[in-house]
Amino acid sequence: MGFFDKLFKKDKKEAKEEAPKAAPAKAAPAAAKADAKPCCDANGEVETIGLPAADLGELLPGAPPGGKFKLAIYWAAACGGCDVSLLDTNERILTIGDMADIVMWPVAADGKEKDIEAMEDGEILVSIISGAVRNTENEHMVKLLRKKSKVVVSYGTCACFGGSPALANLVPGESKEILEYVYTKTPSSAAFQGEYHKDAPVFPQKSFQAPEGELTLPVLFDTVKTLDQVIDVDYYVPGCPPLQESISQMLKAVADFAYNGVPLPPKGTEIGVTTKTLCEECPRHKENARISHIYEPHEIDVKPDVCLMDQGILCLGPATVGGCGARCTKVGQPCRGCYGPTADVQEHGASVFTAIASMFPIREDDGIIGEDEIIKIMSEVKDPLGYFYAFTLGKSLIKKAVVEGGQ
Amino acid sequence: MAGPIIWDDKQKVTGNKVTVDPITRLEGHGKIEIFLDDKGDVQNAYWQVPELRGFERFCVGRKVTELNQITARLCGVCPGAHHLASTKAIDGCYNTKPTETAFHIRDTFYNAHFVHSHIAHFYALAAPDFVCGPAAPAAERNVLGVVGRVGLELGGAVIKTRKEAQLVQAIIGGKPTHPVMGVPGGVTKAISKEEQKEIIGYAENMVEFAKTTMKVFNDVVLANKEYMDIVLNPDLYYHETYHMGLVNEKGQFEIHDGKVKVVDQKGNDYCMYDPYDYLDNIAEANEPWSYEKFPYLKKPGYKGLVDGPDSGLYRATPLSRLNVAKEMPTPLAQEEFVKYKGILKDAGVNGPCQHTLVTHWARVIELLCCAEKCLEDAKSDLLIHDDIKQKDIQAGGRGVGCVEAPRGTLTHDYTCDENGIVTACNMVVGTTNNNGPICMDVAKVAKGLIHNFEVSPGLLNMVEMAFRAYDPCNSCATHSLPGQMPLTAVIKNADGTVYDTITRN
Repeated sequence: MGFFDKLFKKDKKEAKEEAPKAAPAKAAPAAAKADAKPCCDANGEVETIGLPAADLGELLPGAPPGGKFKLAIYWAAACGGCDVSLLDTNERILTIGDMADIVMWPVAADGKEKDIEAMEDGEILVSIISGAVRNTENEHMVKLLRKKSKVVVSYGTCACFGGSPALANLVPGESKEILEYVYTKTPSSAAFQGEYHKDAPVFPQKSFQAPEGELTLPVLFDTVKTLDQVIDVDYYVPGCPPLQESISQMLKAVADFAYNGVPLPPKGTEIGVTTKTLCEECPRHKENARISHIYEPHEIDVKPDVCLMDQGILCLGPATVGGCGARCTKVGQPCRGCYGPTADVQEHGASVFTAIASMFPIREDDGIIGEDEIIKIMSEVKDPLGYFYAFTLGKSLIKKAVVEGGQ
Repeated sequence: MAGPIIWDDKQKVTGNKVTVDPITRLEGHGKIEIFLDDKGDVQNAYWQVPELRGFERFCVGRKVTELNQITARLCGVCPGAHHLASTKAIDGCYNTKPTETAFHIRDTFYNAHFVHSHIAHFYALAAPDFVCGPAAPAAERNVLGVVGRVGLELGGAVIKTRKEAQLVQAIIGGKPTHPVMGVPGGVTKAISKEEQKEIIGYAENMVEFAKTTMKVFNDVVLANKEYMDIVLNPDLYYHETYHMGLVNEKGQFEIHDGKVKVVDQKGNDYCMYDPYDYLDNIAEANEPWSYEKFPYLKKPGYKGLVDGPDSGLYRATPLSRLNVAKEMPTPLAQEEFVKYKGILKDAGVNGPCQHTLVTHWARVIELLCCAEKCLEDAKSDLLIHDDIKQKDIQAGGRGVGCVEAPRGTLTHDYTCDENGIVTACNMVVGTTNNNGPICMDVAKVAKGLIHNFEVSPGLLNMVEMAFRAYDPCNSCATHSLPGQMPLTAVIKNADGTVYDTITRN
C-alpha cells in the first residue's frame, strides 16, 4: 500500500504502546483480565483485556497470489453505524482495497445492482451484509447477493439478531399499525394536526402514478427478520456496531484464506467474540451481592470499581458474549447485550432473566423470603421484554405483542 | 496542482426516464427519478427515500431511560446528536435539567461530535466535488483524490483530527458510535484530570486543523471564479425558503441548548419559540412516493414542493444556522462569519443566503466554532467537577429535547408515565427538515443542466451535488474509498424497459 499505509503505521506507533501479535482468527481466548487499563482509543481499538485485535499490518504486501477477489458490502435495514465501523478501520479499509475489488458498497460507493445481477453465481467471494430485513427491497438484495456469493457474513447486531429495530416486533398491529402511527398519530403529522391531508391521510404507496410517470417504493414487512431467517448465512460478526477487535478477526480470517490458503472457519462460526461472557472482561469487581432492589444508573452513586449488578443495576453482562471490551460498563452504564447471547443460547432475554433471578435473595443461607417479596423485586423490572431483548428480539420465539399486552 | 475538472462530454440518450438508483443516500436507500419530456428536457425529478423502521411506534412501551440508546440507532453516522436530543427529552420527562457539570460534559462531547461529523463530510464528501471537480474521473473523486491534489500532510491531519474527535466522544460516552453516557439530569461518568488534559490536547489540534480547513476552502472554492459562478448561479442551486436554527440568549449560533429561530426569505425574524412549542409552529406532510415526511411551517402551510413566502417549506442546515445567527460565539469563527457575510454581500446576497452550495462554506465556519468551543469547554474546571447527576428525580411527564444535529434541527418529544414507561414518542429529524428543499434542489438542478436528451456522468454528479450539500445523513461516509465511485444511470423507455445504461467512469 502507498503513502496512506505508512502514514497510519506511524500514527499507530505513536498512539499505542504495543500492538498485540496476530491472533487466531476465530474464538480467540479471553486474555487475562488482571491488568485492566482505562478505556480505549478513538475507534475503540486497543484493549488489554478481552478480545485481542488481530494485526493485519504486515500481512498484505499486495494483491493475493490468485489475484484480487470480489467483495460486496451491503446494508439492509440498518443505521449505517456498521458501515462507519468498517470505515473506522482507517488503514485496514485501504488494505481491503489491496486484497479485493469492492463490487458494491452503497455507503461509500454507489451500488450497482445491475452489475451484480450480471455476475456468475458465486463470483463474489465474500458479501458482508449489515442490517435486518425489513422490506421487499432488503429481501431482494440479500437474496441476490447470496446467489452471487460464496460466503455471506451476517455483520452487526441487526443482521445477526434483529437489533434495536426488531423491537418493532412487539407492536401488535405490525406494519399497518407502524405506518398509521408514524403518518397519522405522531403529533407533528399533518393528518394528526388536522392540517393538510386531514380528510384523507396520505401513506407511502408501492406504486404511485405521478403526472410525469410511475414512482415505486418497497413494501414494509410485518416483522423484522434476521438475515439468516431470509438467506443462508456462513458467519456471524455481532456488535452494535462491531468493535475494531472483532472486525480485525474477521479481516484476518479472510486475509489468511486469500493469501495463505488457510481454510475458513467452520460454517456458522461467530467471529470476533470470546468464548466467555462479558463479565470475564469487565474490569469491575464482583462481590456476588444479593439484589433486593433494582436501580437505574441515575438513581444511585455508582461505585466505579464494583460490579453493576452487585449495585442493583440490571446488567446483561452475565448472559452476553464477550468481545466488546466492556466499554459501556467502564463508563458506568450496564451492558444492554448488543453482542448477543453466548453460544448455543437463542433466548437471550430468558437467559438474562435466569441470571438475574439467581441473584435474588433466594439461596438457602439467605433466610426465608416470601413470594410477595420476590414479586416486589420483580415488579421493579420495568418493560422486561424491551430491556432483556433490547437487541435480540428478531431471534426470539417471543415475537408478537400478545405478550406485550400481558407483560 | 492540476485544476479541477468541471465539465465533461455529454451523451445522447433516448427514452423519457433517467433513474439514478441507488444513489449514495441518507438513512437507507435512495433514488432519483428524472423524467424527460419529448424534447429531452427535464419535466420533473423526484428524490425518493424508500425506507421506514418505525422507531416512533416501537419506542412506545419502552423505559424512557432506554430511549437515548435506542434512538441513537436511528443513525450510525450522527448517533451523538440523537443521544443528546434524547437525553434532553428524558431530562424533561423527569422534570429536571442536567447539573452544571453534566451540561458542560455533554457540551464538550457534542462539540467534538460536530467536529468529527463536519470533518468527515467536508473532506470525504464535499471536497472531492470541488478539489477534483464535479466531472473528474470517478476513481479520483474521493478522499484520496483530494489528498493527491492538496498534499499528503493534510491527508494525515484529516484522519488524525477526526480520530481524535472520536476519541473525545469515546472518553466521555464510552463509544463514539452509539455513546451511552446520558442519564436523566446528568451523565454516568465524571471526567478525571488526566482525561481533561487529554481532551485539551485533542481540542487544541482541532482548532488548528479547523483553521487549515478554512484556508483550504478559501483556496479551492472561493478563489476559483468558475466555481463561484456555479455556486452563486440563481438558476441552479438556489431556492427562496425560510431558514431555521437554534440561537442562544444573545442571538448567537448554538447547537446544544437554545431557542428555535426562523427567518423569512428577506431575512426578517419570522418567529422564535421554545422547542417545547414546536407543534404550534411546524407540522409534517406526507407524499405517496416517499417514506420520508415533509416538514413545513404551519402558518404559511404546506403547498407542495414550491418555495417563496407562501410555502411553509424551510431549511435547517449549516447555511440556515448562519442565516438565523446574529454572530458566532467564538472569536475565530466570528472573524470568519464577518468575512463570509461581507463576501456574500459583495456578490449581491442581501439578507439570508439562499444558495445551497454555500452550505459547505457555512459548515467549515461551524467546524471552526465547534472546535473553539470544545477547547473552551475542555479548559474549564467545570469539566472535572463530580456533581454529574441530579438526585431524587421522578419520572412522569413530557419532555422535548432539541439540539442542532450536524444536518439540522433535531427534536425528540416523549411522554412517559410515573413508572417511566413511554406512552407517546415523536421525532423530527435533522435531515427530514430539508426533505422538501432537497427535492426542489434536485429537480431544479436536473432541469437546469439536462437538455435535449444529453446526459453525462459529470452532469448527473452535479445533480447529486444538490443533495450532498445537505449532507443527508450517511453521505458523510460517501466517497471515502479509492476507485470505487461509479454512478450508474439507467435510461428507461416509456414502458419501463431499460434502454441504455451510462456508467460514470
